[in-house]
Amino acid sequence: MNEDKMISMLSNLDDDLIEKEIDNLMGEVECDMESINRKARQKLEKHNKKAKLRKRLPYAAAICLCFIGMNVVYADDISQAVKSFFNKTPVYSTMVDGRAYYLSSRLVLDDNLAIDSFMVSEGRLDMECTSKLGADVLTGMKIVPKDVPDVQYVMGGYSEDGNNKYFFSFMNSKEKNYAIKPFKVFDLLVGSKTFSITLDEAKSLDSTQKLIASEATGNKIDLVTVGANSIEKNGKQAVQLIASFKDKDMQLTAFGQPVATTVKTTFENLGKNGQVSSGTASRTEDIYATDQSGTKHKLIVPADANARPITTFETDALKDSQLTINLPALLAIYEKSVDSFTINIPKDGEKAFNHEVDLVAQKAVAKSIKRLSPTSAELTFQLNTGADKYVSINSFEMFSKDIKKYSAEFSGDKAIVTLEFAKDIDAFDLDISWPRFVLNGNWTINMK
Amino acid sequence: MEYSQVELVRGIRNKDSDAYEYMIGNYTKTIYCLAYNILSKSHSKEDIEECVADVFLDAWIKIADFDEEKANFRTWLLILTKYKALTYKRKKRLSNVVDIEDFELKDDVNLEKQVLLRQDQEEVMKIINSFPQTDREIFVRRFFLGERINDLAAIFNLSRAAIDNRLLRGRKIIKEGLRYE
Repeated sequence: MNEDKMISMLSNLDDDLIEKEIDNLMGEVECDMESINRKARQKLEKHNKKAKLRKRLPYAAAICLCFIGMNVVYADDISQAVKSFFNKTPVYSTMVDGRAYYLSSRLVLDDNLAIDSFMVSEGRLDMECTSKLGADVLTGMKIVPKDVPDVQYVMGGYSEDGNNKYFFSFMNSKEKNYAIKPFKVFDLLVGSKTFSITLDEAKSLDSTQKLIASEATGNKIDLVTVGANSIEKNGKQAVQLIASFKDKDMQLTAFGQPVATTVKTTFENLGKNGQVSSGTASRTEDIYATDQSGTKHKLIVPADANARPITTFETDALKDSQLTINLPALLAIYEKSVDSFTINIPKDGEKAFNHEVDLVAQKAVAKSIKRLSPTSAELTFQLNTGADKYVSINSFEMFSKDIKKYSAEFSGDKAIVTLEFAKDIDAFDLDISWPRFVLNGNWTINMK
Repeated sequence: MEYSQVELVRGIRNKDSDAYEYMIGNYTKTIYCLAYNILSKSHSKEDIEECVADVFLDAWIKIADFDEEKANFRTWLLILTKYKALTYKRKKRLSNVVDIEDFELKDDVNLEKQVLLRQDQEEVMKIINSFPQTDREIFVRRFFLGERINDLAAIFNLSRAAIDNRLLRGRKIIKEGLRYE
């Protein structure tokens, strides 16, 4: 018997025998089981909260359209395209729809807590902070708007980077959703302390700003208008890119052409521990602008960017440069359920059923289902079957109470989904939701 | 509730929190022992406890990587423990230079399973307990906890050859005791 075989044999001894031997080995060494149990449970709780955050964050970004008052001077010479930008409010490095309040600079509350950024708009309440208090205390934070004291916003999810830096997303505690109304003054309840904080109102874009809509493009996409706002930052030319969607449920994910041509997504239903999903990151290629001399300038994500999606970009061009921006594409998400249908799984082999799914900006066809095992199947979609050839489907989410987990791969005009069910089934209802699109508008925005 | 290994793994796969609790209750001592052996010289008791708690969370997250056809769950947990403890050790170092030796772990989980009847297992334990104190400790730490021979040599202030000899002697006695080929 060689050493490997001996290791293998001994590693398969029963746990109780090993534990007895470990007890002998440990001798005087103290092992605080209770403390370890507590820590292990806390880590699991934290992990589950993060998992929920990953699921919930997109919801946090679901902002209702809020039209600003129509008393804005709408001169005839302002185009409809530019008017569509007037409900947009730049906050930090991003833009939200409608009214928003934010913290204009970092706020140190005491020795243990400083708020690095804070923004609230319709349906969205985000905070970044630095704190030594630890996640246990911080996750119990509450936010109570001064003018609506019966409303409380509590932790919807959080993440931490390990250096006492935290990102928190809040939700409405009463309604258990992201029904959040913008507020200016609020109380922040942390542990036994209460801090009263006043925010600044973010200024919406209006006709006094240098708003420029993109030029007419051959790749016409009706559902979005794209433009830019010229700004100056540290003596250099910076730009705010703007995307205004016709449909209030369509939201910007990122500007630029996605780097990944194949998108993989996964989903798992963890029962009482929630649902976890993951997907290929929506990282995009660099965007460039050209100045009047023909020099190319990269649109750079600001180092202090602290809100997503990024819409403000710095350049190394001098502040009065006349830039022409080329934006090949943008990523958008439709934050609603779009279809629900029943799929019958054959006992064995593959079955075609060709169900068309209207994803709002593009169409797809659920082509066929193939039985893999009593509890698994493979579903194939034909993508981009609609008329708009400049809009392609990036991915979408699926849900069924019978699906335990799935993995999907979206590549070109095809998506293959491997489904695992909780039990042996012959049919299931499938909901399709939150489709993501690549809008290949190839826009030119001439800031001259 | 009692779990067999199969039930425990299934429970963790299904994200059953009772299975998580059971895993903690059943394997804390073993994991702590290995983490303690690796970290006690350089880390506090709290750090070692954090490391052990991290191992349980790792097991919860990475359970899809565990193949019960090929490995014992406890062995897999110990492999996770070694990696986690070495990560703790590396983080603590002032320099980021990592000794590649640290990662030459005996973590081949594809070894053919050698399963013994309970009565033979008890016989093995009896034989191990008959070893002289140091030999027994070396044997247990090498074969139950998977510690490296070089580390054991340093800990027991013996040459590598001396550790090898003691392990070889132990294996021989067990083989004879079980009348193995």
